This record gives sequence, C-alpha cells and structure tokens, in this order.
Amino acid sequence: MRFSIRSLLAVMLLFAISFPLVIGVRQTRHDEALLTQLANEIKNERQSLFLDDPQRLRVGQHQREEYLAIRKLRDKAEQHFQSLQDKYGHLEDRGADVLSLRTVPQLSLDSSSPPVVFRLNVPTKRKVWLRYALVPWDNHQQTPVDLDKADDAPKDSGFEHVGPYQIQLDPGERLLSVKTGPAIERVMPIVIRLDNQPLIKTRFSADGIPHSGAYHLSGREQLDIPQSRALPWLLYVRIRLENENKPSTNAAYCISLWLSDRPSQFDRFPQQASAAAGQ
Amino acid sequence: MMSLGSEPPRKRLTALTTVVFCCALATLLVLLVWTSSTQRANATKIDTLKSELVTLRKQAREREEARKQAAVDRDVIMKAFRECRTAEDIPNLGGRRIVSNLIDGESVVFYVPDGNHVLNVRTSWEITAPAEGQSAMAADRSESKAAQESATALTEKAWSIPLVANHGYLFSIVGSQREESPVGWQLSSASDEFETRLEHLPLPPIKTSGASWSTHQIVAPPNLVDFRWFSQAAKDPSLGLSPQRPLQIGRWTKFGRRNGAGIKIYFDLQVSSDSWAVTTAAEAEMLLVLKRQQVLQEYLGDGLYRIKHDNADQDAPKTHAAPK
Repeated sequence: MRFSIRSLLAVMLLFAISFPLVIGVRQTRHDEALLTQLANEIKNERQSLFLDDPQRLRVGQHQREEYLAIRKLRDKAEQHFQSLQDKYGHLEDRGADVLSLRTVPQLSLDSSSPPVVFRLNVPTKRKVWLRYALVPWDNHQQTPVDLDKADDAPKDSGFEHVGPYQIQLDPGERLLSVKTGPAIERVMPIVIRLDNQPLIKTRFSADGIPHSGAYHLSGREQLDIPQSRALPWLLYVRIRLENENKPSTNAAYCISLWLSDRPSQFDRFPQQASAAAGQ
Repeated sequence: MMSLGSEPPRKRLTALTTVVFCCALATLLVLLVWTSSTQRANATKIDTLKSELVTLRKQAREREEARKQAAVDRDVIMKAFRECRTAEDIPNLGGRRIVSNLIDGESVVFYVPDGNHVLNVRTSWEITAPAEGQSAMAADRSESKAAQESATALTEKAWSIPLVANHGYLFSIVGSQREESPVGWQLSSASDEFETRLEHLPLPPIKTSGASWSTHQIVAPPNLVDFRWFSQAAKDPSLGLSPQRPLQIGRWTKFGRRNGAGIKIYFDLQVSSDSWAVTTAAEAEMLLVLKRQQVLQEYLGDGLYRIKHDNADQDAPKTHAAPK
C-alpha cells in the first residue's frame, strides 16, 4: 500500500488537530473534577457556616452581637484599669534618703504573662545600684549582701548573658520592667527595661521546652526603705524545662535582680555599655 | 503505474477518502472549538467557585477569630476584676450582663447591670473529725464539745441582700488565720445607696485556714438558662421554667479550726433578678442542634433571647428588662 504526500499531509493535519484536542479533553476532565471538588468544598463550607439554614444564620448574627456586647464590657474594664494602675502604682515621696518602691498592676491583653513592673523612687542622698546576676537555683534565696558577692556564672548556664551586671539608678522616679516569654520553640526571651529603655535583652535556651516564672517582691503596697535598712532583693526568673518522657526540671541557674547601695566591680548592663560605646 | 481499468474505483476511493478526511477534519475542528469553549467556560466557573470558596473561608476564619476574640475579651474583663481591691475599684460596665470573678476562695468581685437584683448568700457548715492526736491535746475539751454542739445545732444560715443596680460589689470573708475570731462575710459597694453589710456566722470564734475553690468566672445575663437545663427539664417535666433563674456567682469551701476540731464552711452566692429568663445566642445555637428551638422567644438584642415557659402570664416579672 502506498501513500501519496497529500495523504500523508492530510493524516498529519488530522494528528496535529487531534493533539491539542486530546490535551483539551484531558484538561476539561481535570477542570470538571476540580469543579466537582470545589463545589463539594463550597457545600461543606456553607454547611459549616449554616448559610442555607436561615434560623442558624440569624443565631449566628446574634452571636456576633453577643461578642460585641462583651467587647464593650471589655473596653470599659480596660479603660477603667488605667485608673487602678494610677491608684495602686503611684508613690508618695518619703524624703531625700528613703527609697520607695511598689509594683504597678499590669493587665495582659492576651494569653501571655504581663511584665512585672516596679516603680522606684530613688533618693537623692543615696547611691542605688540595680544589679543582675545568675545564681544557682539550689541557692537562689540569697540576701542582697550575699548577691553583691555573686561570682561569674558558667557559660553553659543556658542564658545568653551570664553577668553579673549593674547600673547606678539616677535619683527620681524610675520604672523597671521585666518581661519573660513567651517561649519560641526552645528559646525563652527575657527583656529588662529601665524607663522603657532596654537594659538587657537576653534569652535562655537548652535541651527542652522552657517555661518561666518571675517571682518577685510583692510590692502591693508602697515599701519605704530608709538609710538604716538594707535595700531589697526584687525578683528572680526561674526557668523550668520540659522534656518528652522525662519529668520537668528546673534550670540550674536563675536570674536574680536586686538593689544595693554598696559599690561593686560588676560590669555595666550590655545595652547600657553599647549605648555608651555608641556615643 | 495502475491499469486504466482500475481508474473509476480508484477515483471513487479517492473521493471517499476526501469525504472521510473532510468529515474527520470538520469533526475534529468542531470538537476542538467545543473543547476550547468548554475549557474557557470551566475556567470562568473555577474562578467564580474559587473566589466563592475564598470568601466562605474568610467568613469561617472571621467567625472563628470573633469567637476567640470574645474569649480573650472575657479573660481581660476577669483579669481587670482580679485587680480590684475595694468595691470602688470595680468598673461601672453598663451593658446587660452580670460579671463576676471568684478570687482565691476569699472574695468575689461582681457587677450587676440595670434591673432589680438580690444577692442570696447561703452558708452551711459541718464539724470534721479532729486531726489525729489533736483531740487529746485540746486544752479545753468541754469548749470543743460546746463548739461542736453549737455548730451542729444550726448548720446553715442564709441572707438575701437587695443590690443597687449598675454597681460593683466586693463580697469578702471576714476571719483571721492568726487567732480565733468570729467568722463571717462583708459586702461592700461603691454605691452611696448601699450600706456595707457585715454578718457573722453563728459559730464560736475559729482560726481560718485556707479554702477549697475552683475558678468561677461569669459574664452572663441575669436569669440565664443554659441548654443543659433544657436537657434536665426534658427528663423531668415537673421542673417547669420559672422566669427567675438565679445566677450562681460563687461556690467554695472555707476551712477553719477550733480546739483541734476542723470546721468546713460552705458558701454559695447567687444573684436572683426579676427580669425574664433568657438565654444567649451561643446557647441558642446548642438549642437548635438539640431541636429545641421552640423555647426561644423574641430576640432582645445583645445576643439574648427571652425563653418561653409554661406559665408565662402568671409568672411574668413585675419589671421586664426590655431591650433598649
């Protein structure tokens, strides 16, 4: 059997047209499957949103109104809380040689823990240092006198900054805040600010998921420390580590913050040092 | 080369082939055009459906976010209430909901909205067995016995205190952990019209020693009826549905000791209001699922529905907190 060139061309033409046709048909079948899938997903979404049930739709709308009513209550509570911060967070001046302090109530607007905030009234006739050190968890309840003798903590404590550090506080009203967490995977950020400026931004990381707790001087009422009394310990940040298939454990070291009126050779806080270097 | 005799069939074959070719070509072209137009139509439909799906998913996400935000809002209110140290610290929230937070088994901070409300304080107590060895050490057995007798003679006491609407209240336990002293409770408010109420339980002086309590946080309308109650009512038709459904705002146990004997004091606080029994939209959704929507009466606004009950006319409250 013989084919002429014309026949060959004709067959080729038919094949050339068939090729996009086959692709087109396949695409159409794919599109139709996609359409079915989308229609099913839309059906499911509509069912979950009850769009085809007028009664449920109405209740859904009323539920949004319920949320709005709760939101209004929250806005008023939040607004009112500022007056509580002023009422329970302010200090009375007790004289040029008395250090006064108290904690300022904090309201967390999400699920994370709010920072611990101290308001301090630093006297003019007294030098006051804020100090930071890592202390062994087994012996964390030390007096500020003992803490003033803090040694360098080991580098493998898990904390990025081991200290010890200090800053001399300027006289007048100071605001000290300590914020721990929330942990991101295996890293727990810890930020200490003085008058809203960061003194240290550090973090804890180790083998396990860290959880933190800031244990601090109550400071619910104003605390006045005259010249005759030693300045107090303020706060420690304890880290608990959770590991799979193991009971949770405390990190070997914790951060301790305290006040002192005795000079020492501690370094300056990292952010303070870098700010000084930048000037 | 073909013979001359085969020419006519050959021509016919050629003509037939040409016809077949043309038909095939035409069919293919028609199919191609149809496929192409179907593809375009499908593409348009897919775009429309995708965009509809995106809109629906956005709606679902917004609904979920609104639900989560409401939980956060509720939590913020509770945290703000937790920071209230006196009745004056409690914000005037307005709205149509009672807000309450039981704090550490020692006090309840709560707010009542517009309407007539009464706080029902129910207390009851029991003497628990003395700790081992302690009874022998009790210095004054007769006093211990007297205390027990006195305590067992009257084991409960209740009070009803009318509240001033649109104000916050602080209910707190009165007693001492350090020395034996009368135990009781105090209710104070920022309202000038409300006189602070101090009541003691008819018990001999005791030393208090902690409490057993669990979180009890309420943001709910007065006379709230939840869907669980309807399930109960379905099992027990004799329950009926009164327009007054007191809202429990706290329930806890306070511990105390006297001469080696332990005392457990149970506190139960409820706010009863004279408005209609209502339910919330969240509960209404559950009622729809349970196919009990017939109990839902008119919508009052702010996500609240009036509840239908059997003796509506007879039991109608004197003042109806109608939606504004």
